Amino acid sequence: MDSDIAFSAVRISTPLIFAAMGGLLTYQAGMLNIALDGFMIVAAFAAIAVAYVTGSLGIALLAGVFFSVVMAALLALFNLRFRAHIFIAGIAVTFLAYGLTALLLKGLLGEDGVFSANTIPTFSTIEIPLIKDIPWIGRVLSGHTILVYLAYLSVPVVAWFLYRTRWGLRVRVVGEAEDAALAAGVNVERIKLQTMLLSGVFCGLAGAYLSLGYVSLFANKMTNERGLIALAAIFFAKGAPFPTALVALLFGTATALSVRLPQMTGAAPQLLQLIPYVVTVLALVVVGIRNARSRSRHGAWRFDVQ
Amino acid sequence: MSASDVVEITGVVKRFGDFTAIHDASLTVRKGEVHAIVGENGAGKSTLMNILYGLLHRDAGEVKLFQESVNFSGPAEAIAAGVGMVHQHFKLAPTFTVADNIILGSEPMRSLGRLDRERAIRETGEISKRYGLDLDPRAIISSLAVGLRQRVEILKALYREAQVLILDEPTAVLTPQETRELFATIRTLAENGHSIIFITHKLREVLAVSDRISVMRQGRIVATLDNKDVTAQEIASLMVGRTVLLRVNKSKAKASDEALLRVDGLTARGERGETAVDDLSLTVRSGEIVGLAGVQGNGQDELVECIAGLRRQVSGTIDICGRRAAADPRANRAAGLAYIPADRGGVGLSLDSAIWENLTVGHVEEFGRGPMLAIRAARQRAGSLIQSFDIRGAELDKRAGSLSGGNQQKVQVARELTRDARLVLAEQPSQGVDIGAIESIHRILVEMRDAGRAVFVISADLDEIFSLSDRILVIYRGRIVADLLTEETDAETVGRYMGGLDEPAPPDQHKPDTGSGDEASAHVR
Repeated sequence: MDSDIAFSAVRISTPLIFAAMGGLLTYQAGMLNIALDGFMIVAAFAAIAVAYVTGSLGIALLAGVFFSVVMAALLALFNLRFRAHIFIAGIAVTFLAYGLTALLLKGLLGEDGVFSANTIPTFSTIEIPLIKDIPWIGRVLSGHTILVYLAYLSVPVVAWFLYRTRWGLRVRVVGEAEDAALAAGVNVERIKLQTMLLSGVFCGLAGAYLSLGYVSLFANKMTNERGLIALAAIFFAKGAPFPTALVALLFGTATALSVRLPQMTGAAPQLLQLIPYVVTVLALVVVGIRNARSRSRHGAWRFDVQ
Repeated sequence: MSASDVVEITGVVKRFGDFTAIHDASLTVRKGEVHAIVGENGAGKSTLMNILYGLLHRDAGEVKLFQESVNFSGPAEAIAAGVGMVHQHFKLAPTFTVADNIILGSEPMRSLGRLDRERAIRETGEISKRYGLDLDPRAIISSLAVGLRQRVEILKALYREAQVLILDEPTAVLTPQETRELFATIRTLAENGHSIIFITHKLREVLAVSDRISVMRQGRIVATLDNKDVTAQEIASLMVGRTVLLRVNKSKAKASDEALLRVDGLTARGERGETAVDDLSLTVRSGEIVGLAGVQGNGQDELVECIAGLRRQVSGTIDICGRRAAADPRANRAAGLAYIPADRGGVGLSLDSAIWENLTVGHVEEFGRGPMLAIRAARQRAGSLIQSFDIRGAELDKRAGSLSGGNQQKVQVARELTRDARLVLAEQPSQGVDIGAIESIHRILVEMRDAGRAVFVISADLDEIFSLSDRILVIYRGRIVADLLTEETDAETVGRYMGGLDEPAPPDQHKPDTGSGDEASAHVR
């Protein structure tokens, strides 16, 4: 593969991986968090607005994470405190986030739809010693910004927490058998709240990356349903961190192809932009077939809606 | 209160909205005693124990543990205070190991928040050896038999150093053999100074294992008795508040030669693709009640699902009233099947729908007027069914879910048995049903038999099998291993077949338990 395409695949997958790690934690704790997009868009806006005002990427990043966590706390409040269905509450939070960011874009920054400023600093790229000298691999893996590396490093960290620590054991049991956790004296609500807030942290990083990580730009609904694609990756990999990241990388690669192929082949870009979504649908079809298989032809009728 | 009282419950009240589940209940449990709490479903046994275990909060009264007044805000505090509970429905995480499940909530740790898995496995192994409850700490829960899963639950409590161990209906899922082993364990624990609270409604077991017996009725503890002073009949009468028949009054079966259910060479797979029903053949004739005995998970569910048309078999045939059945519930019902499923809330009824609707489903041909429904006629009929089947607390427009388990069962029974269906498939008909309602459901099934229908009862409860059936089939690992006439056999024999021991062993060889185990078996029948 062309190293340029591979390089952009790594880059484009970054927010997907962040979002997938965030969604994966709530998935493991038994919550379907469909508000990943909502968290991300708020973070994207907060990050660029703060970067514009302060000129500091560090403060901008913190702001993105902070406001994303606030949205996560809001969803936790609706779901865990007021017992709203996670799906409904998630949709509400996402719509709130889309609306709020569009409003503030107009109200605070005076722009309609899109905001960018060339005064905003960009993240410096990091050349990795040794690796950068390896042919092809060097050109693909080296020269990204700190957030890209952070995303990929977060995968083993998440895996370590889930499978090696007490907290991880409790998260997984809460997700699989909440009543078992409850009966063993595990504070189920607290575990759920923690994973939800961490989901906010990861989506904060994803959102900040979207608006600041590559070009400094914010557009309404700029997450482009990346949260849902991340969820598809989580479903496909059944919530295991490394496979989830791998699937997210596959989706990212599909996106990179859809961006590059029009220039290279001259095919209609509108058509090629479908690629990531088609790949996502195909992946979910595979999940569906796999589930149907495991139930087998001789399985009993299912009455519970899942 | 004497110093040996480890639990003292005084005047506890628990309300759920307008409904008072526990009225002024008082109970003491001594150190080293096995204390049975018996009562019908809905009498408040589990509610009272959930209060002691911190899962529910009391509205009034006092709970003392080791002479100290306690008010737990959750199970974590109860566990810390030395109370353990083994729930009726096991609270285990199925894809995790035995060790993971046992340590959950009080995990051995290393630095940095890491789990100490090695210590978990070692300690789990040690504790299972100490109490003679053999288990592989690395085994995955879902691969274990039910009896072993129960051991995990017990070890979970012992790992947390529970002094008071609450067992909620622990024998419901066990074979007679496993039950005997459990009773031996319970006696050992009591001798080691643990106090065991044993919730059940099986009277024989109460007499077999407990030191003292408290009877609950309608949220009250109506009596606490010494085991040696009472009989099963007395306890049953206290539970219901009137004299009850523990046996079904029925005449001898007059089975005809007409087979209404014929299963031939049936093989079916279970949920995990395993062969659950293995080349199984059986016949149920008009005018007889056939009971299928077996430990849960030996293929009963799959067999029933195949007959009901809810599962497609791999091979073999099923004939219902002479018509070849298919994996099509509607066709099988049309052929003459009435099905009373064990899963009332999931398969049998729509708990969120009105009672009249639940009584009408399946009778739509009767009330269908083209695309419309003759609602008035359907409601009228539902009303008369509520009367004739004595469905208590039922109103046409109330949700089916608002009824007690026994009355939900009556709704199912009323709907199914008023259909023109000659084969009655009753799965766990008295599960979660109180004694009064069991009596009437059994009576109805006997009437059905006398009216020339064929009744096939699948039950995990040997007492029910014996009191109801004319003929007993035993299923073991997907095969029928015994076909016995009820009056010519006994529970011990059936129990041996259920455990897969086809040959009756000489008397001195089939008692691997300690003395208390033998004591238990002596009471089984």
